[in-house]
Amino acid sequence: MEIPTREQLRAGDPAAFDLLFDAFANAVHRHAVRLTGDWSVAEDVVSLTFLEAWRLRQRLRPEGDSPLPWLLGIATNVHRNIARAARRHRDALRRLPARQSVPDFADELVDRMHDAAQLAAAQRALGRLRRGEREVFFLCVWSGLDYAAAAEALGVPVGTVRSRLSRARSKLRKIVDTGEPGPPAGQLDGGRSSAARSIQEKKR
Amino acid sequence: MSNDIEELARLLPAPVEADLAPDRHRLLKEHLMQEIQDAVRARPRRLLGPGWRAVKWGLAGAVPVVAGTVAFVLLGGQPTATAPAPTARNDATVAAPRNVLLVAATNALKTKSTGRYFVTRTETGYVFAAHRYDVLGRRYAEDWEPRSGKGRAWGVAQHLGAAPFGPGSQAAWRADGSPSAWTIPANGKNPEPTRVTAAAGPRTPGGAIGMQTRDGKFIAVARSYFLGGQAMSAAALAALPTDAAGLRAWLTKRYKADPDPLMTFQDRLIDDALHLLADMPVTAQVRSATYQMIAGLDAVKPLPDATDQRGRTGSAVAIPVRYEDGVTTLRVIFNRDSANVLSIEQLTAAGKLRGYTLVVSSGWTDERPPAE
Repeated sequence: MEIPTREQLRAGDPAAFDLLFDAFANAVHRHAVRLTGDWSVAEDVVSLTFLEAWRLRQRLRPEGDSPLPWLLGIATNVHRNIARAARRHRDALRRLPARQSVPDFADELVDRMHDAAQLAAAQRALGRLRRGEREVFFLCVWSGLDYAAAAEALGVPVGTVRSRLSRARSKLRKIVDTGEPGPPAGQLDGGRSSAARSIQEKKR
Repeated sequence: MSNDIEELARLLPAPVEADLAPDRHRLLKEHLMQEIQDAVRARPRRLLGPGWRAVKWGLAGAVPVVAGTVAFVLLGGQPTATAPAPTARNDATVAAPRNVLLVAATNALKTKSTGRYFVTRTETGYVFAAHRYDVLGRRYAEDWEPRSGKGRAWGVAQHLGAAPFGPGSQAAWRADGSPSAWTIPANGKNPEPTRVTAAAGPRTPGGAIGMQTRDGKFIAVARSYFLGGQAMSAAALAALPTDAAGLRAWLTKRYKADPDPLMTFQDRLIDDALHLLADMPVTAQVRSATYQMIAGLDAVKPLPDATDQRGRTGSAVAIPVRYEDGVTTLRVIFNRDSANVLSIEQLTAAGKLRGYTLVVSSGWTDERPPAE
Protein backbone atom coordinates (compact mmCIF):
# COMPACT_ATOMS: atom_id res chain seq x y z
CA MET A 1 0.00 0.00 0.00
CA GLU A 2 1.45 3.30 -1.09
CA ILE A 3 1.29 6.14 1.42
CA PRO A 4 1.58 9.73 0.19
CA THR A 5 4.21 11.94 1.78
CA ARG A 6 3.28 14.86 3.98
CA GLU A 7 4.94 17.13 1.47
CA GLN A 8 2.71 15.87 -1.36
CA LEU A 9 -0.38 16.29 0.80
CA ARG A 10 0.61 19.78 1.87
CA ALA A 11 1.23 20.73 -1.76
CA GLY A 12 -2.34 19.74 -2.60
CA ASP A 13 -1.39 17.09 -5.13
CA PRO A 14 -4.68 15.39 -6.08
CA ALA A 15 -2.91 12.08 -6.71
CA ALA A 16 -1.65 12.14 -3.12
CA PHE A 17 -5.23 12.42 -1.85
CA ASP A 18 -6.22 9.53 -4.09
CA LEU A 19 -3.54 7.42 -2.38
CA LEU A 20 -4.51 8.79 1.03
CA PHE A 21 -8.09 7.64 0.57
CA ASP A 22 -7.06 4.17 -0.55
CA ALA A 23 -4.64 3.82 2.34
CA PHE A 24 -6.78 5.11 5.18
CA ALA A 25 -10.48 5.25 4.26
CA ASN A 26 -11.11 1.99 6.11
CA ALA A 27 -9.22 3.08 9.22
CA VAL A 28 -11.18 6.34 9.25
CA HIS A 29 -14.40 4.43 8.65
CA ARG A 30 -13.80 2.04 11.53
CA HIS A 31 -13.02 4.97 13.78
CA ALA A 32 -16.16 6.76 12.57
CA VAL A 33 -18.40 3.72 13.14
CA ARG A 34 -17.15 3.50 16.70
CA LEU A 35 -17.55 7.22 17.28
CA THR A 36 -21.05 7.41 15.88
CA GLY A 37 -22.38 3.90 16.35
CA ASP A 38 -24.16 4.42 13.05
CA TRP A 39 -22.95 3.09 9.72
CA SER A 40 -24.63 5.69 7.56
CA VAL A 41 -23.45 8.63 9.62
CA ALA A 42 -20.01 7.04 9.65
CA GLU A 43 -19.88 7.29 5.86
CA ASP A 44 -20.64 10.99 6.09
CA VAL A 45 -17.88 11.36 8.64
CA VAL A 46 -15.49 9.60 6.25
CA SER A 47 -16.36 11.94 3.39
CA LEU A 48 -16.24 15.03 5.57
CA THR A 49 -12.92 13.94 7.07
CA PHE A 50 -11.24 13.70 3.68
CA LEU A 51 -12.83 16.94 2.48
CA GLU A 52 -11.54 18.62 5.63
CA ALA A 53 -8.13 17.04 5.10
CA TRP A 54 -8.04 18.62 1.66
CA ARG A 55 -9.13 22.00 3.04
CA LEU A 56 -6.70 21.91 5.94
CA ARG A 57 -3.80 20.30 4.08
CA GLN A 58 -1.44 23.15 4.80
CA ARG A 59 -1.91 22.67 8.53
CA LEU A 60 -0.49 19.16 8.34
CA ARG A 61 2.86 19.34 10.07
CA PRO A 62 5.65 18.84 7.52
CA GLU A 63 7.56 16.43 9.71
CA GLY A 64 6.28 13.12 10.99
CA ASP A 65 5.45 9.62 9.82
CA SER A 66 2.04 8.32 8.89
CA PRO A 67 -0.68 10.92 8.31
CA LEU A 68 -3.18 8.58 10.01
CA PRO A 69 -3.15 10.37 13.41
CA TRP A 70 -3.84 13.64 11.61
CA LEU A 71 -6.78 12.06 9.76
CA LEU A 72 -8.23 10.49 12.88
CA GLY A 73 -7.90 13.82 14.65
CA ILE A 74 -9.86 15.47 11.84
CA ALA A 75 -12.47 12.71 12.03
CA THR A 76 -12.76 13.31 15.77
CA ASN A 77 -13.30 17.02 15.19
CA VAL A 78 -15.82 16.35 12.45
CA HIS A 79 -17.75 14.09 14.79
CA ARG A 80 -17.61 16.69 17.58
CA ASN A 81 -19.40 19.17 15.40
CA ILE A 82 -20.70 17.38 12.35
CA ALA A 83 -23.24 20.10 11.66
CA ARG A 84 -20.50 22.67 11.23
CA ALA A 85 -18.50 20.40 8.94
CA ALA A 86 -21.63 19.63 6.96
CA ARG A 87 -22.40 23.32 6.54
CA ARG A 88 -18.87 23.99 5.38
CA HIS A 89 -19.06 21.26 2.74
CA ARG A 90 -22.75 21.60 2.00
CA ASP A 91 -22.37 21.68 -1.76
CA ALA A 92 -20.05 18.71 -1.73
CA LEU A 93 -22.43 16.70 0.45
CA ARG A 94 -25.22 17.38 -1.98
CA ARG A 95 -23.20 15.62 -4.62
CA LEU A 96 -22.43 12.67 -2.37
CA PRO A 97 -23.63 9.43 -3.98
CA ALA A 98 -26.82 8.29 -2.31
CA ARG A 99 -26.56 5.39 0.10
CA GLN A 100 -28.26 2.10 -0.39
CA SER A 101 -30.62 1.85 2.51
CA VAL A 102 -30.48 -1.95 2.71
CA PRO A 103 -27.33 -4.05 2.42
CA ASP A 104 -27.23 -6.39 -0.53
CA PHE A 105 -27.22 -9.61 1.42
CA ALA A 106 -29.37 -10.66 4.33
CA ASP A 107 -26.34 -12.23 6.03
CA GLU A 108 -24.61 -8.90 6.05
CA LEU A 109 -27.69 -7.31 7.56
CA VAL A 110 -27.76 -9.86 10.38
CA ASP A 111 -24.05 -9.31 10.99
CA ARG A 112 -24.59 -5.63 11.15
CA MET A 113 -27.41 -5.91 13.62
CA HIS A 114 -25.24 -8.06 15.81
CA ASP A 115 -22.35 -5.64 15.48
CA ALA A 116 -24.66 -2.74 16.23
CA ALA A 117 -25.93 -4.37 19.42
CA GLN A 118 -22.38 -5.08 20.54
CA LEU A 119 -21.34 -1.55 19.74
CA ALA A 120 -24.34 -0.10 21.52
CA ALA A 121 -23.44 -2.05 24.66
CA ALA A 122 -19.88 -0.77 24.53
CA GLN A 123 -21.08 2.75 23.94
CA ARG A 124 -23.34 2.60 26.97
CA ALA A 125 -20.27 2.01 29.05
CA LEU A 126 -18.30 4.67 27.22
CA GLY A 127 -21.16 7.08 27.80
CA ARG A 128 -19.94 7.31 31.39
CA LEU A 129 -16.68 8.87 30.30
CA ARG A 130 -16.07 12.52 29.61
CA ARG A 131 -15.80 13.41 25.94
CA GLY A 132 -12.05 13.94 26.11
CA GLU A 133 -11.55 10.58 27.81
CA ARG A 134 -13.75 8.85 25.28
CA GLU A 135 -11.87 10.38 22.33
CA VAL A 136 -8.54 9.24 23.71
CA PHE A 137 -10.04 5.81 24.31
CA PHE A 138 -11.19 5.51 20.70
CA LEU A 139 -7.84 6.63 19.31
CA CYS A 140 -5.52 4.65 21.57
CA VAL A 141 -7.48 1.55 22.40
CA TRP A 142 -9.63 0.87 19.38
CA SER A 143 -7.67 2.59 16.61
CA GLY A 144 -4.26 1.60 17.94
CA LEU A 145 -2.51 4.98 18.11
CA ASP A 146 0.23 5.40 20.69
CA TYR A 147 0.25 8.30 23.15
CA ALA A 148 2.28 10.58 20.91
CA ALA A 149 0.13 9.91 17.84
CA ALA A 150 -3.08 10.48 19.80
CA ALA A 151 -1.60 13.71 21.12
CA GLU A 152 -0.88 14.81 17.54
CA ALA A 153 -4.38 13.82 16.47
CA LEU A 154 -6.09 15.81 19.20
CA GLY A 155 -3.60 18.64 19.41
CA VAL A 156 -3.06 18.12 23.14
CA PRO A 157 0.08 17.35 25.16
CA VAL A 158 1.11 13.72 25.57
CA GLY A 159 0.61 14.05 29.32
CA THR A 160 -3.03 14.90 28.76
CA VAL A 161 -3.52 11.76 26.68
CA ARG A 162 -1.88 9.73 29.43
CA SER A 163 -4.00 11.14 32.22
CA ARG A 164 -7.23 10.88 30.27
CA LEU A 165 -6.55 7.22 29.52
CA SER A 166 -5.73 6.58 33.13
CA ARG A 167 -9.01 8.11 34.24
CA ALA A 168 -10.86 6.15 31.55
CA ARG A 169 -9.33 2.96 32.92
CA SER A 170 -10.43 3.67 36.51
CA LYS A 171 -13.95 4.52 35.44
CA LEU A 172 -14.40 1.59 33.09
CA ARG A 173 -12.92 -0.84 35.59
CA LYS A 174 -15.53 0.30 38.09
CA ILE A 175 -18.35 0.01 35.55
CA VAL A 176 -17.31 -3.47 34.41
CA ASP A 177 -16.78 -4.63 38.00
CA THR A 178 -20.15 -3.43 39.20
CA GLY A 179 -22.08 -4.14 36.00
CA GLU A 180 -23.50 -0.68 36.38
CA PRO A 181 -25.52 0.28 33.30
CA GLY A 182 -24.79 3.48 31.46
CA PRO A 183 -27.18 5.81 29.72
CA PRO A 184 -28.85 4.54 26.56
CA ALA A 185 -26.56 4.49 23.55
CA GLY A 186 -28.73 6.91 21.67
CA GLN A 187 -27.75 9.68 24.03
CA LEU A 188 -24.09 9.39 23.30
CA ASP A 189 -23.34 12.70 21.63
CA GLY A 190 -26.98 12.57 20.67
CA GLY A 191 -28.41 14.91 18.10
CA ARG A 192 -25.13 15.94 16.56
CA SER A 193 -25.63 14.00 13.40
CA SER A 194 -29.17 15.07 12.73
CA ALA A 195 -28.22 18.49 11.40
CA ALA A 196 -25.96 17.03 8.74
CA ARG A 197 -28.62 14.58 7.82
CA SER A 198 -31.34 17.14 7.31
CA ILE A 199 -29.09 19.26 5.10
CA GLN A 200 -28.42 16.32 2.83
CA GLU A 201 -31.87 14.85 2.84
CA LYS A 202 -33.25 17.93 1.10
CA LYS A 203 -31.29 17.13 -2.01
CA ARG A 204 -31.58 13.39 -1.98
CA MET B 1 3.91 2.43 28.08
CA SER B 2 0.55 0.95 27.66
CA ASN B 3 -0.68 -0.78 30.79
CA ASP B 4 -3.68 1.45 30.54
CA ILE B 5 -4.22 0.69 26.87
CA GLU B 6 -3.86 -3.05 27.37
CA GLU B 7 -6.26 -3.18 30.26
CA LEU B 8 -8.77 -0.97 28.49
CA ALA B 9 -8.60 -3.22 25.43
CA ARG B 10 -9.43 -6.17 27.67
CA LEU B 11 -12.24 -4.32 29.42
CA LEU B 12 -13.86 -3.19 26.19
CA PRO B 13 -12.63 -5.05 23.11
CA ALA B 14 -13.07 -3.24 19.79
CA PRO B 15 -16.52 -4.37 18.74
CA VAL B 16 -16.37 -4.34 14.94
CA GLU B 17 -13.98 -4.14 12.07
CA ALA B 18 -16.32 -2.21 9.84
CA ASP B 19 -14.67 -1.74 6.49
CA LEU B 20 -16.37 0.28 3.82
CA ALA B 21 -18.12 -1.90 1.29
CA PRO B 22 -16.00 -1.95 -1.89
CA ASP B 23 -18.60 -0.12 -3.96
CA ARG B 24 -19.01 2.55 -1.30
CA HIS B 25 -15.26 2.90 -1.07
CA ARG B 26 -15.10 3.49 -4.81
CA LEU B 27 -18.04 5.92 -4.88
CA LEU B 28 -16.83 7.94 -1.91
CA LYS B 29 -13.36 8.16 -3.39
CA GLU B 30 -14.69 9.26 -6.76
CA HIS B 31 -16.73 11.89 -4.99
CA LEU B 32 -13.73 13.16 -3.04
CA MET B 33 -11.53 13.26 -6.13
CA GLN B 34 -14.20 15.08 -8.06
CA GLU B 35 -14.45 17.73 -5.36
CA ILE B 36 -10.68 18.10 -5.27
CA GLN B 37 -10.36 18.20 -9.04
CA ASP B 38 -13.12 20.75 -9.12
CA ALA B 39 -11.25 22.97 -6.71
CA VAL B 40 -7.98 22.51 -8.56
CA ARG B 41 -9.56 23.16 -11.94
CA ALA B 42 -11.43 26.17 -10.66
CA ARG B 43 -8.25 27.87 -9.48
CA PRO B 44 -6.24 28.18 -12.67
CA ARG B 45 -9.29 28.77 -14.85
CA ARG B 46 -7.10 27.91 -17.83
CA LEU B 47 -5.74 31.43 -17.65
CA LEU B 48 -2.21 31.07 -16.57
CA GLY B 49 1.06 30.19 -18.20
CA PRO B 50 3.31 27.27 -17.35
CA GLY B 51 2.81 27.95 -13.67
CA TRP B 52 -0.83 27.11 -14.04
CA ARG B 53 -1.02 26.04 -10.45
CA ALA B 54 -0.33 29.57 -9.34
CA VAL B 55 -3.34 31.05 -7.64
CA LYS B 56 -2.51 34.58 -8.41
CA TRP B 57 -2.64 36.78 -11.41
CA GLY B 58 0.40 35.86 -13.27
CA LEU B 59 3.37 33.77 -13.67
CA ALA B 60 4.88 30.73 -12.09
CA GLY B 61 5.88 31.23 -8.51
CA ALA B 62 4.04 34.46 -8.11
CA VAL B 63 3.07 33.83 -4.54
CA PRO B 64 2.76 36.52 -1.93
CA VAL B 65 5.00 36.19 1.07
CA VAL B 66 3.42 35.21 4.35
CA ALA B 67 1.22 37.75 6.05
CA GLY B 68 3.04 40.16 8.29
CA THR B 69 5.72 41.27 5.89
CA VAL B 70 3.23 43.05 3.71
CA ALA B 71 3.53 46.76 4.06
CA PHE B 72 0.06 48.01 3.39
CA VAL B 73 -2.63 48.37 5.96
CA LEU B 74 -5.70 46.24 6.23
CA LEU B 75 -8.86 48.15 5.71
CA GLY B 76 -11.11 49.56 8.34
CA GLY B 77 -14.86 49.90 7.81
CA GLN B 78 -15.98 52.79 5.58
CA PRO B 79 -18.32 51.04 3.19
CA THR B 80 -18.26 52.70 -0.18
CA ALA B 81 -21.54 51.50 -1.55
CA THR B 82 -23.25 54.70 -0.59
CA ALA B 83 -20.65 57.00 -2.16
CA PRO B 84 -22.35 59.05 -4.86
CA ALA B 85 -21.33 57.91 -8.31
CA PRO B 86 -20.06 60.70 -10.55
CA THR B 87 -21.42 61.19 -14.00
CA ALA B 88 -20.56 58.43 -16.35
CA ARG B 89 -17.85 60.30 -18.18
CA ASN B 90 -14.65 61.71 -16.81
CA ASP B 91 -12.11 63.22 -19.16
CA ALA B 92 -9.30 63.99 -16.75
CA THR B 93 -6.14 62.20 -17.84
CA VAL B 94 -5.18 61.25 -14.30
CA ALA B 95 -8.35 61.17 -12.32
CA ALA B 96 -8.50 60.14 -8.70
CA PRO B 97 -8.77 56.34 -8.78
CA ARG B 98 -11.98 56.49 -6.86
CA ASN B 99 -13.54 58.60 -9.54
CA VAL B 100 -12.33 56.53 -12.47
CA LEU B 101 -13.36 53.31 -10.78
CA LEU B 102 -16.76 54.72 -9.90
CA VAL B 103 -17.25 55.81 -13.49
CA ALA B 104 -16.55 52.22 -14.50
CA ALA B 105 -18.91 51.04 -11.75
CA THR B 106 -21.70 53.13 -13.22
CA ASN B 107 -20.98 52.01 -16.75
CA ALA B 108 -20.73 48.37 -15.67
CA LEU B 109 -24.46 48.48 -15.02
CA LYS B 110 -25.02 48.83 -18.77
CA THR B 111 -23.14 45.66 -19.66
CA LYS B 112 -24.96 42.67 -21.04
CA SER B 113 -25.50 39.84 -18.63
CA THR B 114 -27.64 37.58 -20.75
CA GLY B 115 -26.63 35.13 -23.41
CA ARG B 116 -26.19 31.49 -24.19
CA TYR B 117 -22.49 31.35 -23.41
CA PHE B 118 -20.01 33.10 -21.18
CA VAL B 119 -16.83 33.45 -23.21
CA THR B 120 -13.41 34.54 -22.03
CA ARG B 121 -10.37 35.04 -24.28
CA THR B 122 -7.13 35.83 -22.53
CA GLU B 123 -3.47 36.12 -23.30
CA THR B 124 -1.05 35.48 -20.49
CA GLY B 125 2.51 36.73 -20.58
CA TYR B 126 5.18 35.50 -18.20
CA VAL B 127 8.75 36.66 -17.89
CA PHE B 128 11.38 34.20 -16.72
CA ALA B 129 15.13 34.34 -16.38
CA ALA B 130 17.22 32.33 -18.84
CA HIS B 131 20.96 32.51 -18.24
CA ARG B 132 21.83 36.21 -18.46
CA TYR B 133 18.65 37.54 -20.01
CA ASP B 134 14.90 37.46 -19.61
CA VAL B 135 12.42 35.65 -21.85
CA LEU B 136 8.76 36.50 -22.33
CA GLY B 137 6.48 33.53 -22.97
CA ARG B 138 2.91 34.03 -24.12
CA ARG B 139 -0.13 31.81 -23.96
CA TYR B 140 -3.64 32.12 -25.31
CA ALA B 141 -6.73 30.60 -23.76
CA GLU B 142 -10.35 30.71 -24.78
CA ASP B 143 -13.19 29.30 -22.80
CA TRP B 144 -16.88 28.83 -23.62
CA GLU B 145 -19.15 27.91 -20.76
CA PRO B 146 -22.85 27.33 -21.42
CA ARG B 147 -25.23 29.20 -19.15
CA SER B 148 -26.59 26.97 -16.39
CA GLY B 149 -24.10 24.26 -17.27
CA LYS B 150 -26.30 22.83 -20.03
CA GLY B 151 -24.90 22.56 -23.51
CA ARG B 152 -21.46 21.94 -24.88
CA ALA B 153 -18.53 23.49 -23.06
CA TRP B 154 -15.56 24.25 -25.23
CA GLY B 155 -12.14 25.73 -24.84
CA VAL B 156 -8.85 26.12 -26.61
CA ALA B 157 -5.35 26.81 -25.40
CA GLN B 158 -2.24 27.67 -27.34
CA HIS B 159 1.35 28.47 -26.60
CA LEU B 160 1.97 31.65 -28.60
CA GLY B 161 5.74 31.43 -28.48
CA ALA B 162 8.52 33.02 -26.48
CA ALA B 163 11.26 35.54 -27.15
CA PRO B 164 14.09 37.38 -25.38
CA PHE B 165 12.61 40.28 -23.48
CA GLY B 166 13.99 43.57 -22.26
CA PRO B 167 16.95 45.80 -23.08
CA GLY B 168 20.06 43.93 -24.21
CA SER B 169 18.30 40.59 -24.15
CA GLN B 170 18.64 40.01 -27.92
CA ALA B 171 22.43 40.37 -27.77
CA ALA B 172 22.64 38.16 -24.68
CA TRP B 173 20.48 35.55 -26.40
CA ARG B 174 22.78 35.52 -29.45
CA ALA B 175 25.80 35.28 -27.17
CA ASP B 176 24.10 32.28 -25.58
CA GLY B 177 23.97 30.50 -28.97
CA SER B 178 20.47 31.65 -29.96
CA PRO B 179 18.61 28.78 -28.28
CA SER B 180 15.14 28.00 -29.62
CA ALA B 181 13.84 26.67 -26.31
CA TRP B 182 14.33 27.26 -22.59
CA THR B 183 13.53 25.32 -19.45
CA ILE B 184 11.88 26.88 -16.42
CA PRO B 185 13.12 24.83 -13.47
CA ALA B 186 10.74 23.20 -11.02
CA ASN B 187 9.90 25.28 -7.99
CA GLY B 188 7.30 25.40 -5.29
CA LYS B 189 4.53 26.20 -7.72
CA ASN B 190 5.81 24.37 -10.77
CA PRO B 191 6.11 20.76 -9.73
CA GLU B 192 7.89 19.84 -12.93
CA PRO B 193 10.42 21.67 -15.07
CA THR B 194 8.64 23.35 -17.94
CA ARG B 195 10.10 23.56 -21.43
CA VAL B 196 9.17 26.68 -23.35
CA THR B 197 9.84 26.93 -27.09
CA ALA B 198 10.42 30.07 -29.11
CA ALA B 199 8.00 28.76 -31.72
CA ALA B 200 4.27 28.80 -31.12
CA GLY B 201 2.58 25.51 -30.34
CA PRO B 202 -0.55 23.95 -31.78
CA ARG B 203 -4.03 25.03 -30.75
CA THR B 204 -5.29 22.47 -28.27
CA PRO B 205 -9.05 22.33 -28.11
CA GLY B 206 -10.76 20.93 -25.03
CA GLY B 207 -14.29 20.04 -24.18
CA ALA B 208 -16.03 19.52 -20.91
CA ILE B 209 -14.10 19.84 -17.69
CA GLY B 210 -13.88 16.66 -15.78
CA MET B 211 -11.63 14.17 -14.17
CA GLN B 212 -10.20 10.88 -15.16
CA THR B 213 -10.62 8.20 -12.54
CA ARG B 214 -8.00 5.51 -12.13
CA ASP B 215 -10.06 2.98 -14.03
CA GLY B 216 -10.19 5.30 -17.01
CA LYS B 217 -13.70 6.63 -16.55
CA PHE B 218 -14.28 10.30 -17.33
CA ILE B 219 -16.55 12.21 -14.99
CA ALA B 220 -17.70 15.50 -16.41
CA VAL B 221 -18.24 18.21 -13.85
CA ALA B 222 -19.94 21.52 -14.23
CA ARG B 223 -17.47 24.36 -14.38
CA SER B 224 -16.92 26.04 -11.08
CA TYR B 225 -15.26 29.29 -10.18
CA PHE B 226 -12.88 29.85 -7.32
CA LEU B 227 -14.11 32.73 -5.21
CA GLY B 228 -13.74 33.47 -1.53
CA GLY B 229 -11.65 30.38 -1.02
CA GLN B 230 -14.18 27.95 -2.44
CA ALA B 231 -15.31 26.54 -5.73
CA MET B 232 -18.64 28.00 -6.74
CA SER B 233 -21.06 27.05 -9.46
CA ALA B 234 -22.27 29.64 -11.94
CA ALA B 235 -25.65 29.47 -10.21
CA ALA B 236 -24.05 30.31 -6.86
CA LEU B 237 -22.27 33.27 -8.45
CA ALA B 238 -25.64 34.56 -9.60
CA ALA B 239 -26.70 34.83 -5.94
CA LEU B 240 -23.82 37.08 -4.88
CA PRO B 241 -24.65 40.37 -3.13
CA THR B 242 -25.12 43.18 -5.62
CA ASP B 243 -23.83 46.09 -3.53
CA ALA B 244 -20.23 46.83 -2.60
CA ALA B 245 -20.66 46.61 1.17
CA GLY B 246 -22.61 43.37 0.90
CA LEU B 247 -20.10 41.84 -1.48
CA ARG B 248 -17.21 42.78 0.76
CA ALA B 249 -18.98 41.40 3.81
CA TRP B 250 -19.72 38.17 1.94
CA LEU B 251 -16.09 37.74 0.93
CA THR B 252 -14.84 38.63 4.41
CA LYS B 253 -17.04 35.95 5.89
CA ARG B 254 -15.70 33.41 3.41
CA TYR B 255 -12.10 34.26 4.25
CA LYS B 256 -12.78 33.79 7.95
CA ALA B 257 -14.43 30.45 7.29
CA ASP B 258 -11.59 29.27 5.07
CA PRO B 259 -8.32 30.87 6.13
CA ASP B 260 -5.46 30.92 3.65
CA PRO B 261 -2.09 31.14 5.39
CA LEU B 262 -0.38 32.33 2.22
CA MET B 263 -2.47 35.38 1.48
CA THR B 264 -3.41 38.50 3.37
CA PHE B 265 -6.97 39.70 3.57
CA GLN B 266 -6.34 42.43 1.03
CA ASP B 267 -4.49 40.09 -1.34
CA ARG B 268 -7.47 37.80 -1.35
CA LEU B 269 -9.96 40.62 -1.76
CA ILE B 270 -8.07 42.04 -4.72
CA ASP B 271 -7.50 38.66 -6.32
CA ASP B 272 -11.18 37.80 -6.08
CA ALA B 273 -12.28 41.26 -7.21
CA LEU B 274 -10.11 41.13 -10.33
CA HIS B 275 -11.42 37.70 -11.24
CA LEU B 276 -15.00 38.90 -10.74
CA LEU B 277 -14.31 41.69 -13.22
CA ALA B 278 -12.19 39.79 -15.70
CA ASP B 279 -13.43 36.25 -16.10
CA MET B 280 -16.43 35.33 -14.03
CA PRO B 281 -20.01 35.07 -15.26
CA VAL B 282 -21.55 37.52 -12.82
CA THR B 283 -24.31 40.04 -13.32
CA ALA B 284 -23.80 43.67 -14.30
CA GLN B 285 -24.79 44.62 -10.74
CA VAL B 286 -22.06 42.46 -9.24
CA ARG B 287 -19.46 43.88 -11.63
CA SER B 288 -20.55 47.37 -10.68
CA ALA B 289 -20.36 46.52 -6.98
CA THR B 290 -16.88 45.08 -7.53
CA TYR B 291 -15.60 48.30 -9.10
CA GLN B 292 -17.06 50.20 -6.16
CA MET B 293 -15.43 47.80 -3.72
CA ILE B 294 -12.00 48.35 -5.32
CA ALA B 295 -12.63 52.10 -5.30
CA GLY B 296 -13.03 51.85 -1.55
CA LEU B 297 -9.52 50.47 -1.02
CA ASP B 298 -7.16 53.18 0.22
CA ALA B 299 -4.17 51.25 -1.13
CA VAL B 300 -5.36 51.68 -4.73
CA LYS B 301 -3.48 54.55 -6.37
CA PRO B 302 -4.11 56.48 -9.59
CA LEU B 303 -1.88 56.09 -12.63
CA PRO B 304 -1.83 57.95 -15.94
CA ASP B 305 -3.79 56.35 -18.75
CA ALA B 306 -1.82 53.36 -19.96
CA THR B 307 -1.48 51.17 -23.05
CA ASP B 308 -1.56 47.41 -22.70
CA GLN B 309 0.55 44.84 -24.58
CA ARG B 310 -2.04 44.80 -27.37
CA GLY B 311 -1.86 48.55 -27.84
CA ARG B 312 -5.19 49.27 -26.19
CA THR B 313 -5.30 52.41 -24.04
CA GLY B 314 -7.36 52.74 -20.89
CA SER B 315 -7.57 54.11 -17.38
CA ALA B 316 -5.10 52.61 -14.94
CA VAL B 317 -4.68 52.10 -11.23
CA ALA B 318 -1.88 50.58 -9.17
CA ILE B 319 -2.57 48.02 -6.48
CA PRO B 320 0.25 47.12 -4.09
CA VAL B 321 1.08 43.43 -3.67
CA ARG B 322 4.14 41.57 -2.47
CA TYR B 323 5.02 38.48 -4.48
CA GLU B 324 8.03 36.23 -4.02
CA ASP B 325 9.68 37.18 -7.29
CA GLY B 326 9.84 40.88 -6.58
CA VAL B 327 6.48 41.92 -7.99
CA THR B 328 5.23 44.83 -5.90
CA THR B 329 2.46 46.28 -7.99
CA LEU B 330 -0.45 45.16 -10.11
CA ARG B 331 -1.21 47.71 -12.78
CA VAL B 332 -4.82 47.27 -13.80
CA ILE B 333 -5.76 48.85 -17.11
CA PHE B 334 -9.45 49.12 -17.83
CA ASN B 335 -11.82 50.85 -20.18
CA ARG B 336 -13.95 53.09 -18.01
CA ASP B 337 -16.63 53.47 -20.67
CA SER B 338 -17.22 49.78 -21.31
CA ALA B 339 -16.13 48.78 -17.76
CA ASN B 340 -13.99 46.03 -19.31
CA VAL B 341 -10.69 45.09 -17.74
CA LEU B 342 -8.04 45.20 -20.47
CA SER B 343 -4.93 44.00 -18.72
CA ILE B 344 -3.54 43.10 -15.32
CA GLU B 345 0.20 43.63 -15.29
CA GLN B 346 2.73 42.62 -12.67
CA LEU B 347 5.47 45.14 -12.09
CA THR B 348 8.55 45.13 -9.90
CA ALA B 349 9.49 48.04 -7.66
CA ALA B 350 11.70 49.26 -10.53
CA GLY B 351 8.71 49.20 -12.86
CA LYS B 352 9.83 46.14 -14.83
CA LEU B 353 7.11 43.95 -16.32
CA ARG B 354 7.17 40.41 -14.88
CA GLY B 355 3.95 39.15 -16.41
CA TYR B 356 0.46 40.08 -17.47
CA THR B 357 -2.98 38.77 -18.22
CA LEU B 358 -4.60 40.45 -21.19
CA VAL B 359 -8.34 40.12 -21.25
CA VAL B 360 -8.95 39.98 -24.98
CA SER B 361 -12.66 39.68 -24.34
CA SER B 362 -14.91 38.50 -21.58
CA GLY B 363 -18.68 38.43 -21.56
CA TRP B 364 -21.94 36.84 -22.60
CA THR B 365 -22.84 35.92 -26.15
CA ASP B 366 -25.62 34.14 -27.99
CA GLU B 367 -23.14 32.64 -30.42
CA ARG B 368 -22.16 29.02 -30.21
CA PRO B 369 -18.65 27.68 -29.75
CA PRO B 370 -16.76 26.78 -32.92
CA ALA B 371 -16.99 23.20 -34.07
CA GLU B 372 -13.86 21.32 -33.14
